[in-house]
Amino acid sequence: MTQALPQGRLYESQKLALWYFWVALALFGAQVLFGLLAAWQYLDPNFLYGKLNFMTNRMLHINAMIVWLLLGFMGGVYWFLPLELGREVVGIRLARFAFFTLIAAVGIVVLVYLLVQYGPGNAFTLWLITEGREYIEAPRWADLGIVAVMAIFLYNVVATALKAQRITGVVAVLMFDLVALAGLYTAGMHYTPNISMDQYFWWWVVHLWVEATWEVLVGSIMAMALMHLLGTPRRIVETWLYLEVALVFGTGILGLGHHYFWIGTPEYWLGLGGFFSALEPIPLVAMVVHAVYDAGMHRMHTVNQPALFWAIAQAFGNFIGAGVWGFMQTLPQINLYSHGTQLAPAHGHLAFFGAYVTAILTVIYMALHQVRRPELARFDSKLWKWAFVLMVVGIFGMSAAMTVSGFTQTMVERAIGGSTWQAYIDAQQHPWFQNGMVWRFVFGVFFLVSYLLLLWDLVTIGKGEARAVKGVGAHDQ
Amino acid sequence: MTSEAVRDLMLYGMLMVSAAGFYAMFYALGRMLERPSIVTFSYLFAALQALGALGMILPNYLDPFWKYLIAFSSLVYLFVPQGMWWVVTTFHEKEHAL
Repeated sequence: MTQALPQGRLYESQKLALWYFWVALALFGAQVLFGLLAAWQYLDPNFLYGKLNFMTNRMLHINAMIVWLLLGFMGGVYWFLPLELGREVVGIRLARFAFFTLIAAVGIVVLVYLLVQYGPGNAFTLWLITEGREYIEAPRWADLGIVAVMAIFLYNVVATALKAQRITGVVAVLMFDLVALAGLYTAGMHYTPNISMDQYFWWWVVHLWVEATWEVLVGSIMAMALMHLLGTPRRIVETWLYLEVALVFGTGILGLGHHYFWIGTPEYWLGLGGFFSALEPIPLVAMVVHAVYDAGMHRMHTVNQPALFWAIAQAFGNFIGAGVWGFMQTLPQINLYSHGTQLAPAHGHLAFFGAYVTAILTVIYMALHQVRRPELARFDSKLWKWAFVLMVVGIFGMSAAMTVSGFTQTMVERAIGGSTWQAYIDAQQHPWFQNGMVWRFVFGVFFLVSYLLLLWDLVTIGKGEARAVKGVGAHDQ
Repeated sequence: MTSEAVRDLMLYGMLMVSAAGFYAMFYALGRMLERPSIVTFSYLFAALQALGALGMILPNYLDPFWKYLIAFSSLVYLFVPQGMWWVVTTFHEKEHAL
């Protein structure tokens, strides 16, 4: 088992992790807010037109999501790493420097997005305003900054493990994953005037980065979380982690071929991508059995109920978002009609929430527990249940509404109308599409309320019995 | 591919995978709580899963390659809960016996 500090004391790395968590939560709020503005602009396209255009809101909504999840993951690793290796993180000053640099860079990029928005489409725009690549619009200088921050992060993990002379299975997986995480992002900076090649490398970042390296990263974090939350033996979580890595490589990476359908890649990707994507939900169904077993073994009893519920939501959310909503549109015969409709964000919202948001919230509740309450004391509140239920209802409501709209687009615009401009207009004016957009906004408001409740709960939970958290000096090592 | 075919494939695909998930969930719950009635109830979802697969396989929408793929997936889903339950319980028993 891992070595922990005496009660009430934190490693410097864990203190830094708390900073990561709070900034991540603030950006989560920005994601929700800009998403809501974009959702309203679907209903009233003139709203804020010329001031804060739809494209800007959408860009901020998506990029805020990517950055806050990344910060949450990094916070999770900085939280668990010293517990896993039994010592302080080696480059803690470097880690702090990277954190504040990243925050400053994010602030500058957001201001540029808000105040400048777009440029003439030359090197100046590419380097200083936006790269214009969907989901990874960050200007080139910020891209390089992200890679540098990830490299520092990787160095800290590797150097700490070497210094501790202890490399656990989880840490080994984490190290290999971080190499891929830093490396694959560079594919998004590859410049070529050939749009097919450009799209090919862009897909690598969006999908191999988010669907492969993030999946393994969150798997490593959840493995460490489960050891501390439920006391699951290391051998079990590490075996599951290896299994997950094998599955990601076995079905996930080649399954990403379903994204290659539309970018001029050879025809064999239809069969290859479709085959492995069709098999992708199978391990997710298997994980449902394991989640039920784990929850049942502990009879849902733990001192940290909110963390347990978010952990269980992670297993089910991953299955529903990635498995069900993914499979529904993954066969090439269907994807030909559904690609780029509202079905894609329906799948994206559920999958990102199910796989990543839930995991980060699990870790945050665990961290706050250690900060605010004795290890064996109950960490509970009434508010977290409301936030949990409303947030789950909100995300499902939004996704269901987008599914209806996307289904209408798939039928009216693509299958019946043959993707003509008129068919696009017909689909946009169809009552099912428009009602879907209304309900998406309504559930978006729902989600915003749940976010505010969650935030308030995170600020207050366990605080009534707060105790001082003493720092750990160098002499304590 | 007609619009009806696209609609049917999407809906049957959704039914197939979501029913597979409910089958796995209720099966594991029934075994966990030692309630054979819940395990029996889970077979309803197994049947729905197979029905979803048949909905994709029987019509003439897909080529044989895709039909075999869906038939194979459907067959695997039928045994995932039992297989996984065996793996999980055996693994945990061995671990706790150490």
